[in-house]
Amino acid sequence: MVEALTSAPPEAIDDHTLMLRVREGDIPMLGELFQRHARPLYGFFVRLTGDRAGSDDMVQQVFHRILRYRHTYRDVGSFTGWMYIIARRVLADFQRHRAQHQPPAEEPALEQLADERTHAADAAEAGDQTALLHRALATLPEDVREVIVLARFQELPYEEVARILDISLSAVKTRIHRAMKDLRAAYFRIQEIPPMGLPTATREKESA
Amino acid sequence: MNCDETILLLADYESGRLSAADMRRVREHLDRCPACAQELQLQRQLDLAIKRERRPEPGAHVHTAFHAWLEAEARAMPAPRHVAAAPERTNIIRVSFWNHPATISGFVAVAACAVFALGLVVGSRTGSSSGAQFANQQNAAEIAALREQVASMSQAVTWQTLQQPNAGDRIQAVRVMASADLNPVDVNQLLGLVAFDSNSQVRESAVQALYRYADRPTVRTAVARALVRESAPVVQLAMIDFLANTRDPEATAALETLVHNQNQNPLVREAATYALTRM
Ligand SMILES: [Zn+2]
Repeated sequence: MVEALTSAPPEAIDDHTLMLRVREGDIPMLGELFQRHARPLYGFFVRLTGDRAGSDDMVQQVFHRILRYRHTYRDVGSFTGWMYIIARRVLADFQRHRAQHQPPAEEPALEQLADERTHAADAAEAGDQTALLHRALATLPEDVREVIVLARFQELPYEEVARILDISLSAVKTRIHRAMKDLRAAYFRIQEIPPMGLPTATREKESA
Repeated sequence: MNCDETILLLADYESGRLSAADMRRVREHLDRCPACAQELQLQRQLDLAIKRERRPEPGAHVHTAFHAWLEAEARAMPAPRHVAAAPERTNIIRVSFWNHPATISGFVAVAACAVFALGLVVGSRTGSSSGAQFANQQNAAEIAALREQVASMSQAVTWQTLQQPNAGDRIQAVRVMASADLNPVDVNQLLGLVAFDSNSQVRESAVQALYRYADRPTVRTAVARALVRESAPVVQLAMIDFLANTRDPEATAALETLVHNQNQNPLVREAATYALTRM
């Protein structure tokens, strides 16, 4: 099957076949996979860490590891799922590295919450709903954030999310439900909107 | 359908992930329950916010760096590389410190020998175009600094770099080694880190740096032995990946040990099981 597609342009080949070709040593095919996945992957990292420079770096690390570990790519299964498994390891390394190099980093992130409303008000004034959403996301515990980013922001099928997180499908569903509820609460709290209440003064300036 | 059941299905209801029957049951409940209907309203506001999210974009340099790196990699690996399938391994070259409990001193001795070689390797690369291989932007500057430092430093000082109490410094040293063609002494140096470094990230980096030498039986054996003692899942997974392509009997035994140990991390056991199916 791989042979039959050899003459097709990379853009016309599916992820799985591209990865099989990379595995067989056709290294440049990785360029097309990067083209397709670098942006969502970056989104995954940035939503989970809020660290743009670090996320730039992690995207590259994922592709370095894909190449290095290409022999372990399975014939069955999806490229996306495998890529996110690698991405989670890269993320874990990154966080461990960050913790080692700036140990108090975790604390200020939490302290920051007290200060959050001021920032949120600024963001709302600027009509920056995305910033608010990301800020709300940042208040959630890591595992909750991860499931929501994969299932809702990255829009991966639940089966894929279950494989990536190595949990059952029903566990994914329950977790997503809880996660969405938490995110919602954080999102409205950050905007100082009581659930179903009237918008506050900061909201009235919103342009969008 | 009661409120609890309904609420649990709301997110899926909104995104149309429910069966037709469940969709209908949820809709019926919503029609007669203001509380759940309100819940749905909130859900919708959030869904809308997610839909309107500005999708984050990586920096422009990421592209450039990636393609430069890929080009360098493709040039370095013109042909597919196959791990030797035949069991060519012999037991003659055993790094001495594997057999001793007093391993640290052995390690230090090996490390001391390796330092000079590392200095040479690293020094010879300074100023070459090998920078493209380090697409890792975050570390590129640090690595460049380290290279410069290493090139200009005396042997003793270089050795200290590898013995730094700061794990970040040791990782940088490993990364520099990872990009070079190493002689057997350097390789032993990496194996020493894999087995004995106190920091799991250093150990993992060292495993990765050894990937190009996976076809050497001594390297496989050493990694397999280190795997049995390893307790950090991240390092275990890196080692399992590493061993997945070998047919080394010692690797098989190490993987089987993991598979049968109920106390192991489930991910690690799964990875080991999978690796065994390929051996
Ligand atoms: Zn109800």
